Amino acid sequence: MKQYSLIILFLSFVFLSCNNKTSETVLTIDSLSIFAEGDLYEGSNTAQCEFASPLNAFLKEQSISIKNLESATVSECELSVADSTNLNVYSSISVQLTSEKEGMKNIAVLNPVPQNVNKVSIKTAENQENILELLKQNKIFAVADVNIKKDTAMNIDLKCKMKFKLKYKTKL
Amino acid sequence: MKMIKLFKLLIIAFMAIVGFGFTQQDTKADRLIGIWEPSNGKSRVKIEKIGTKYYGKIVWLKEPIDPTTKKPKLDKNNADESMRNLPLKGYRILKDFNYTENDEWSDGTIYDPENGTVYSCVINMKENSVISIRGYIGVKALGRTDSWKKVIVK
Amino acid sequence: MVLKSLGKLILFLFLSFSVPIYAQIDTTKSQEGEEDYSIYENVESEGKIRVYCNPKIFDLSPNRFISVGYDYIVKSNLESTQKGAYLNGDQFNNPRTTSFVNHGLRINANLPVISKAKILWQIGGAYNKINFNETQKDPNLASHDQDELMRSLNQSGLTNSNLNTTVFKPLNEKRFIIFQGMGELNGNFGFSKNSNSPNLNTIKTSMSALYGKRPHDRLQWAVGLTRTYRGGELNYFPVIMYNYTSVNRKWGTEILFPGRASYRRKFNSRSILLAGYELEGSSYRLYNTNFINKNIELRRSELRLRLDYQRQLKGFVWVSIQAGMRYNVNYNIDSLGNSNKDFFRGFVGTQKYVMLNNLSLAPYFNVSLNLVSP
Repeated sequence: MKQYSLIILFLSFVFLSCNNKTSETVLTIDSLSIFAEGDLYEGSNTAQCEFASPLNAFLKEQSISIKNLESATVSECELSVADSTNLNVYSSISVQLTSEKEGMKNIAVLNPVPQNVNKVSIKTAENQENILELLKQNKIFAVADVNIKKDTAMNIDLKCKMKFKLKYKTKL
Repeated sequence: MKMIKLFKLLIIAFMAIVGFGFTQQDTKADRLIGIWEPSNGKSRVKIEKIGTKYYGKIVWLKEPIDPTTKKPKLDKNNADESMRNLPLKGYRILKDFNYTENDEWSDGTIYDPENGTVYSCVINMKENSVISIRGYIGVKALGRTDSWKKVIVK
Repeated sequence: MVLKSLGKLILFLFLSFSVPIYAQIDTTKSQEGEEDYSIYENVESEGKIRVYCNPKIFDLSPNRFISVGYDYIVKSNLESTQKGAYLNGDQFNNPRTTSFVNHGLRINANLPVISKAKILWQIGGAYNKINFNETQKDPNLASHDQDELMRSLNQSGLTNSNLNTTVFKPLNEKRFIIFQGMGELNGNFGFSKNSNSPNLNTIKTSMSALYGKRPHDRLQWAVGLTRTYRGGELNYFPVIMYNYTSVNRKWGTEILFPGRASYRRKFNSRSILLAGYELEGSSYRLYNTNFINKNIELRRSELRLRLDYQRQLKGFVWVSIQAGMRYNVNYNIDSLGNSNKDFFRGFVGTQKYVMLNNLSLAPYFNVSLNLVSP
């Protein structure tokens, strides 16, 4: 009898463990405007924008509990400028995210910047830590460090679209 | 009626005192903003504020060209291979410093491009124009301190 | 009326001092468009600091805060004379040979007490255990004085323990001095109930003093003198330090002659290979060893030719894997007699050994986990 109880207990444990699976969803932020006012000189310049984290609203929409979230990574980062211009003035761009309670994280770097285009997808960082913790903050800063090839009177006005891959637990 | 008016006045007075205190704190914390040169004189770092935290990026290198590639130095030792194309000039080596008290900025990190390592870091201001920067592993005892001096653009 | 005036005053104070909160300086927003790298070339200093040379050069193998490792020497043959009075190089009459394996734990720590640009002061300690696993002997062999030596070594092994300190003092941008001091307690003692207890009167002291120059970030050299037991017994040597890294940063040297010397090959910032040698040794008190002679010291020294591969595992934890050949330099036995005072034999001394020993060439392996420093 004791043996049967142990077997049933073991099988229940295995069943419960296998009862959760990991699912993925994508959170898109496509309206970031990373801005710095000109005149701009040759060399390193910093542009930034502050935005409210859309995580809570997104999770509500998707009916996902925040407790079930396992991880988040930036899967895509796209930068663009107005149709009438291009990215030629930039020699390199790096994008970072930071907030008051989470440290600054390198998200993506583009060096060299392709010529004669007004939109580009940037390769995201392989090592991304604590992105989920960052998304949980109310206020997030997106910071772009751009190297300008030569003096220019224009502003830095980069439209940034980021996709976050969220992994979360679901019950079978 | 008089009590309500007195109460409102007290609230305004309290906010004035607190506001004054925060302003003083901000002024003290912002003394870190500026351009600083490490003791070896091989670089200059501009410290600036983003949000409420302080960050520093390299704005000048004594030897900006990599002797092997003959091109501007890149962050070739970064542990993340996808980040190795980033130019060192403009690289944020100081991150996430919060002003605490007693002329100390803590909770930050310093990045050493020579070996691609990030260390915990604390900054103390000895005088308005000299700071000591201590990079360490885990506990402050396991680390090293360097003195940086403030420079101004001519 | 009074209340109204007071209210106006407080409002004035509030506006005067509080409004700046809302104008917090976020320098990246306000100073965009004023970045020009070329302006940072011409600066003048507001502050004054003295410039000191760095204790390291580019790409040296990482300093170890804490190291825990295991050392294993494959089977060695020990050939011994009977007890007597011998000079080094004397013929072995009636020798006895036995074989054993050596292995043991090695723990080292070096922690900074002061770590600043103007001075670096470290203190450290080490504990190294050498266990002996003797291969089975023919029980019909006649007794030999080596039996007593092996009984003693098999029972407790050898323990090497030390406390040390190092001071690196830069004098200016290019010149520096180094001072090292160490006190060692070595012998066939242990910490279990039946083990021998060490006698603090047997502590051996070593020290080194060097003066050097660091002309640039890839070269550092120094010369000095050392009082050392690395040769198994007390000796004095000149010391030469020469650390160099090539222009392409791929190779270099790490030399502290005569103690150790290596050629260094850097694969990337996370892995390096060292090829060279290290002279290891000290003098070990043999307690409760029935040699009749009093205050017996085993003068143990070996030259390790090796390849040492070091790699970062995660963060500041590195692993080191060494393999090489152990060449015996000294394994002779001295008696300090009733005085119990160590003596200086040097290269020309005529003091005689109580027993001569030869240890065969043997391969060895060493693996360690190391917490390395910035």
